Amino acid sequence: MKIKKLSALLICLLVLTSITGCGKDKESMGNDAHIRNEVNDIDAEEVDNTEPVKILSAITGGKDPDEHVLWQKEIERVLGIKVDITKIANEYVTKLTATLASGDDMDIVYMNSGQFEKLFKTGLFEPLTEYIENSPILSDPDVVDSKEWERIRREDGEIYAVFNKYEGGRMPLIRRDWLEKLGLKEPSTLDEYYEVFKAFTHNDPDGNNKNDTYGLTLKAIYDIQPFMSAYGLFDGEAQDENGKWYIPWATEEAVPVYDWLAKLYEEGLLDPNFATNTSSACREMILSNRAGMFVYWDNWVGLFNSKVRSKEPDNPFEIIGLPPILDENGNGVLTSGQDGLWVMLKTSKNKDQAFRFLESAFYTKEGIIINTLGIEGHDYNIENGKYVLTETGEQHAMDHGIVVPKTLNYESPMPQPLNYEEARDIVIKYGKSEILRDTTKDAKEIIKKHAIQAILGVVNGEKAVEDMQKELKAKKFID
Amino acid sequence: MLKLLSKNKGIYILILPALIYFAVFSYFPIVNGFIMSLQHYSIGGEHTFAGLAHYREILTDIDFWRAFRNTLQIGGGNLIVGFIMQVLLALLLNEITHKRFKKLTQTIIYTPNLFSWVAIGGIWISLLAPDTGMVNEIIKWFGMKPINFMTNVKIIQPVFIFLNTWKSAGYGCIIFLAAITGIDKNLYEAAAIDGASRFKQTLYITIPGLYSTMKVVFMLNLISVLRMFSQSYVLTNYAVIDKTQVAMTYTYSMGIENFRMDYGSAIAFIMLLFTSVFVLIYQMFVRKKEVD
Repeated sequence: MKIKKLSALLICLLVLTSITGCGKDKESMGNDAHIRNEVNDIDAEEVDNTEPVKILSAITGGKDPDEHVLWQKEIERVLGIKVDITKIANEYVTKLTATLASGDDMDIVYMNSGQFEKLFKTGLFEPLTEYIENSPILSDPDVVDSKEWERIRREDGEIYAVFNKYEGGRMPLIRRDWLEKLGLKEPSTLDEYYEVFKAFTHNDPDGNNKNDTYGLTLKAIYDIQPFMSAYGLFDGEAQDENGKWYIPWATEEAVPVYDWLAKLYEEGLLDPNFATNTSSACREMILSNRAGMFVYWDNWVGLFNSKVRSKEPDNPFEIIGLPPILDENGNGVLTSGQDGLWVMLKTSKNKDQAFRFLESAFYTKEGIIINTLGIEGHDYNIENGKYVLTETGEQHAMDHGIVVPKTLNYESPMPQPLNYEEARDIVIKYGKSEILRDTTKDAKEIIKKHAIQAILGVVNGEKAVEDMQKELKAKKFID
Repeated sequence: MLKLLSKNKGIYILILPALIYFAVFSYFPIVNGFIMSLQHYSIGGEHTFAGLAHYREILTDIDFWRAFRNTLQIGGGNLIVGFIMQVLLALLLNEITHKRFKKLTQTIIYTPNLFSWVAIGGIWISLLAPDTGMVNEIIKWFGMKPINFMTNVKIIQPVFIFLNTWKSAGYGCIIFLAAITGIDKNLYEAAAIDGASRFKQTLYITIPGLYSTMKVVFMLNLISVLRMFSQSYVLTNYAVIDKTQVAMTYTYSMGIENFRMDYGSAIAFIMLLFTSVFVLIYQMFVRKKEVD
């Protein structure tokens, strides 16, 4: 009997301990820390006494839990708006779903266009058209091009989101120093790219006398748009002249591109790990001189150069961005980044303040500085009227949620990284936003699956496209 | 009933927190999930009654049935190969007489079980890499062409089974080892006197002695393989997704990534049903064997 009671007591204690253990220690959590705004600790001069604006964010805020606390205080101090920002760095979509489903009290939420398309039909989002039209900042075409607002206007005539930042676009990022060393010119056709990749793979461009380089690294088929551009194709969905939906990458015109990529793989010019690579693995391939080209974001032209040259100023490492391959009509297309969007929930009890935050945090100089450079005295100092990054600021690479703001009239107080401006101009010239529907994500997974089989040589390009179309039509993702 | 309760009321009060915990965190979500599966569930909006619409959709969902097939193939492989390895390792470890070496081997065998699939996935993707992976270096050394293990649809399922066995064999092995220590030593002495070899002793004493433990371990493994998630989530890539996406990762994809929590809940309940059926069949089989 005594043993029974002791056992029951032990079970009881174990359960209570596990319940306590399940509670989140906000101080010890990693990047998923939900850092509450500690009102009594604020050193702010003009913080509004109204309710804090509750924000769910994937990228906006401090780089770690400690910095996030400082970052929140800074933004409150500078903007005069009390905020409570929950920053979720990992598994954001899981947390987003859980937050929305549980009816958690949130005012504004960050999401990308794909997530926006899937969630729009839930009717959770507050129309922001009137707020935008009445905003002297956001309605100013010198701040945000009115075409951009039109692009996200819905069928009912309303605008339901505010842009987070200039999303840039993806483009070929190539080692200029390798091209120069091997006496090659910048490639502009598929054949020229093939010759360049061959040279990068076999001619020891890094000069270490080892056969350890590849011409091209990819993360699955992210992003083969610069090559698809050669045949007038673009990413995302499209409608033909009869209004029927189709996906350009799943048409017969795409077959030669898949076969060309299969050739690269077969001959060892394409990183054989492409199907399992993560973005960070690909970046590491570039930084460690193992690959000569990666199709990636325009801002990474500058970041790659900064990362290497800040440690080794004499390193010849130099990345440049290239335009897409032009088609027979002389047109080329790169993929512009999916919009990162801020939406306001209909259930928000603090709509005016929430919109004021969106307006000032992302479209005024003060807000942009905090979202880019970071915190004064922590990420940067102002010395003789000039902004100087601290060591922490260098590591944070001027990105606290925004690298380049959406606003057209912002001039960065810091010099732009090497070759970034040229890359950005190419994306602005050739970038095209994808048309997304709520089925686009699922359709792209089908394309990815079959395209990889073609590149691996399991099937040829024609069979891959045939299989794509069969599966897309069966699921009614295309007409 | 009340008399029984009042007689042991001290104990029942002490286990009440545990009961409440399971009721709140296990059973309430199950009931709630079932209700959700019968609704057109709108995140943050109003829900309407859907009846069995989601269950009907599952019947014609090719992706679900493919994921279910993968669950049976990979899970079945994990179950059979894993189970055999666990028993085999326990029998082999039992033969080691040197205590320190035995403990060291036990630790080495058990260690992979301590790591999460995120860590294991990273390690093995690196080891199996077609260009720089250690496994392919050995293959190349023998003059053969390197193999892209993680993107080959023909071998990816055996790779998954191998990795799962490597990770979890130690755990089952420890359980069986503990069970072996409970077998009466006199039986071995008697068998030795009768001239039985070590192998025959293992075959006719050790293995039958493990039957009751095997039944329990097999059933627990059966339940867990149908719920497998982490391995597939971490290791799946688009080259092999049609062979490695399992029912639980498909549920996650539908429910969380596609915001269709109602449909995801319906799939989860279908899997719960299948799990119950398999366990019932297994138990009927075991009972029949016992009666025979």
